[in-house]
Amino acid sequence: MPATIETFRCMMCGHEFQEKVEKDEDKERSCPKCRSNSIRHMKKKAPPSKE
Amino acid sequence: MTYSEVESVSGFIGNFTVRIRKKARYVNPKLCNACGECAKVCPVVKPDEYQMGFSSRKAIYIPFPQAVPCSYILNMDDCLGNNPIACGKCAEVCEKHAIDYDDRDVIVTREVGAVIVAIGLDVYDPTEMDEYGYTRFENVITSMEFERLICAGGPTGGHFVRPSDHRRPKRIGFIQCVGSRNPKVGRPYCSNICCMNTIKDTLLLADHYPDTENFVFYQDIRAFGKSFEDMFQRSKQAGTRFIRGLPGDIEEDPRTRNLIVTVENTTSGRIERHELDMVVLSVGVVPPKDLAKISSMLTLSKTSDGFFMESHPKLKPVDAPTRGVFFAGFCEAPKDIKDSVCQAGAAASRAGALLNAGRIKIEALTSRIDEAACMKCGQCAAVCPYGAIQWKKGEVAVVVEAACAGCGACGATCQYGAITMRHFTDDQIMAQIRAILANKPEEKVFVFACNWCSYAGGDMAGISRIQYPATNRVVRTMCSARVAPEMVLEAFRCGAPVVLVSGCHYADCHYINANRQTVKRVQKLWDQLEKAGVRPERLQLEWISAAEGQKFAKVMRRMEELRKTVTMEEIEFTRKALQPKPKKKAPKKEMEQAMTAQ
Repeated sequence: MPATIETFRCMMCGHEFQEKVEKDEDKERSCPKCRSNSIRHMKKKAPPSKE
Repeated sequence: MTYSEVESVSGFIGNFTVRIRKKARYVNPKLCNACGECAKVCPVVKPDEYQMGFSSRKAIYIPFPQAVPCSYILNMDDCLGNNPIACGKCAEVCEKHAIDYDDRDVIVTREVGAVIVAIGLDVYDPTEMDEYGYTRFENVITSMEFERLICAGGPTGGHFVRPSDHRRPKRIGFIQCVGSRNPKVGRPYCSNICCMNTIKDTLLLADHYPDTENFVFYQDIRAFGKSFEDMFQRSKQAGTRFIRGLPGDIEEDPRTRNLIVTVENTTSGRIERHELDMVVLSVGVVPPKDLAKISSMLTLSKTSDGFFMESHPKLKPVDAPTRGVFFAGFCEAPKDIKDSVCQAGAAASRAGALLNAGRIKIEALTSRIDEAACMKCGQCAAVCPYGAIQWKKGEVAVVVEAACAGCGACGATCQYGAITMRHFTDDQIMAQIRAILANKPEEKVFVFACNWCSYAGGDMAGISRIQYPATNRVVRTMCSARVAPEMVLEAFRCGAPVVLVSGCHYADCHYINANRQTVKRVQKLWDQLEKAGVRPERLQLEWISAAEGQKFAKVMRRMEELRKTVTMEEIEFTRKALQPKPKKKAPKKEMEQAMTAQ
């Protein structure tokens, strides 16, 4: 499965950044701006269903 | 047991069951006397893997000269004589009738008390570093290929020649750190052995061919072992030129097939060009390809470099986090022969001591399952990093206490309150939370800290007299994975303005990878808080190691700043918004069964 570009948000400073995410990767993340480890993975919301 | 492969390992300390595939040799080693008549008549010619492809072998061959037992094996992937027999020449000439085309793999099971993992290493493939032209120029070889070319038992009988024209090279360059100390190729670590291997090679060349000019291109020479500095000095005295700087480019002269190496000599600050007959890439080492398979079999964890992580880098350097498993050699970290032998001796001693004792002592920090409360969902077994919980669909989970390390990940996962962590029970932790936040909670920074790293990081900050706000209140758990979502929510309900969950860095987790469960839970909690209208930023996650007293203090200062932003109205709103939901009911089917049993 190819890597995807995902959005992350630092819960300490609010900095949003994008990073490559590979399947089953096991990586410690930190904010590139403030080095905090409070990194929230901003998962893409599913598109609204067409009804 | 040679020519065999471990298929699976199950069980726990003192009671491992190992399933081994004994591969078919198609030659009976008891009958074969290694006369070699079979290989002489074999029509199949393949590159010899042991000689790095510089010479050939037959389909029936001895894998390498020191192979034990010294008997031939038949590679059925190469052989023409398999089903139906098209060749059969080896069987015809074998006077001992040792060849058996019907041989099959055999599965052998062994009960063992301890396991020593010594699966070795792989060598870095420099193909991706195109600037060195390994795939483009014949006279660029790796240090492993160099070993075969200069070896008396090698394809040239020890006569060192270059591959393009079989002439002896007079000017040889060695490039260090190919695939080591290079984050660009994902290998930031030092391979430990390459510097001394190259120095040994230069001395070997100086001894065999005194008229050879040797150049070593390096970034640092690491000669820190016993007598290593002496070897380095001897190499210099023998005329080897050590140039500080790694080449940026290699070109080939199409007429002479010589190699033009361009390098910035960082000592003189000048760009130099050297015409060499041959270039040897001093390739680094990489974790063996079977590491992931062994890792999953024995529930082992890896460091960021990809090698196995030991139980404790200083106090238990040969023990795996899984009890009863020990490491020897490269699979744990790059090391030279002497260190590998030392570690192997230590691993054997540790395993011997374990088996001779006949019994083990475990800490009383294990989990216990309440059979009546267990809903047989198996979630606890799924999160246990040690595989210490045995569960089958429709059955109550069982904790193997000898294998349980007491991280508490299972206790935090169980939604039915069926798991009790001895000494870190839900009730005990909840009582601590309520007691801490009983008075003036709005003035406190609430912290969950893991025992091994974050809590020790706080100690380090204290010992180092580092100043940080005195508002924090810490609850210690063995692992951050013990912190159940309900505990965090309870802290908010009790009026905590901010909550910090802190644990070990990924590579330092003392419970293999239990802290990954912490990440998952905190992610869910952020979503839950947001959904409830609570600022998710009020929950923070940090990895703080025992040595990071400075970081602990910095995090506490940040948390205090964050606390000051939380208003009393927010705290009151949070109390109401996070009111507990009614307890999760057992699935209907289970309830019916329980009623019937009564």
